[in-house]
Amino acid sequence: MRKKHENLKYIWVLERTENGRIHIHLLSSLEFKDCISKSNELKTEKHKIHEQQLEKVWSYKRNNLGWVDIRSINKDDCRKCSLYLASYLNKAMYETKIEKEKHLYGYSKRTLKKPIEQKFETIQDIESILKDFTKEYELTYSSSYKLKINNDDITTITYMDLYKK
Amino acid sequence: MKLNNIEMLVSKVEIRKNKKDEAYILIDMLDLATGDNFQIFDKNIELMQKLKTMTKYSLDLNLTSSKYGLRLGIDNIIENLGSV
Repeated sequence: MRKKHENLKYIWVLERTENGRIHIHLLSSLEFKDCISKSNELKTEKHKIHEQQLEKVWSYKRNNLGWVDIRSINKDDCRKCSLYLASYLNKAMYETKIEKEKHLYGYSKRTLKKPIEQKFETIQDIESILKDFTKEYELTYSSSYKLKINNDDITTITYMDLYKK
Repeated sequence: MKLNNIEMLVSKVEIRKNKKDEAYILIDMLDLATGDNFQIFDKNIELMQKLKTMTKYSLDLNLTSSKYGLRLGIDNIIENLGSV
């Protein structure tokens, strides 16, 4: 795939099922030109042919190595997919027996940049934090949830996506 | 239930279409004091399009109950309190 598609972007997560088989969730920038159905649509014949081709690639050394399910995602689905993959990343890293294996997840290092994570503490309120950041960054998404701490205390966690303008 | 004179930051305004191709507006609001987020869906596009992103507003909200659960809506836009 990488040889065929020069700028291919992808991230994959490996998970072992309860019966010990492995399956891989892979999110890629590969385009199939409108013949791949979304998760809530019935698969077309063209869609099935693409899946069969990938199954052949996957099983090129041995027979019946498994099956492939491809689905197209649009802009709105991206966040759901990233959260879905993130949940599998967490699951694979902390809950299953494969935690000590090296390749739990991978990504195309040539075409995707690894995000830089920075942590800092501040006593500013939300408005002044936003004032500081919105000169350079654009708020694209925000959500909040309640978290119980110290038995009965409930605090609000506010999550914000800020993208550089 | 009416919630009068609430200060909120409008963080996102987006026009969307439902399965019947009818347009509706999605508004993300952030309570700057508590950090709580609310998402409002409204069919009154003309009125709601007046809301600008990253701007604070004083609003009257309306909390109603339906078979799908609680629904929060904007009853009245009182005042534009300026951008963040």
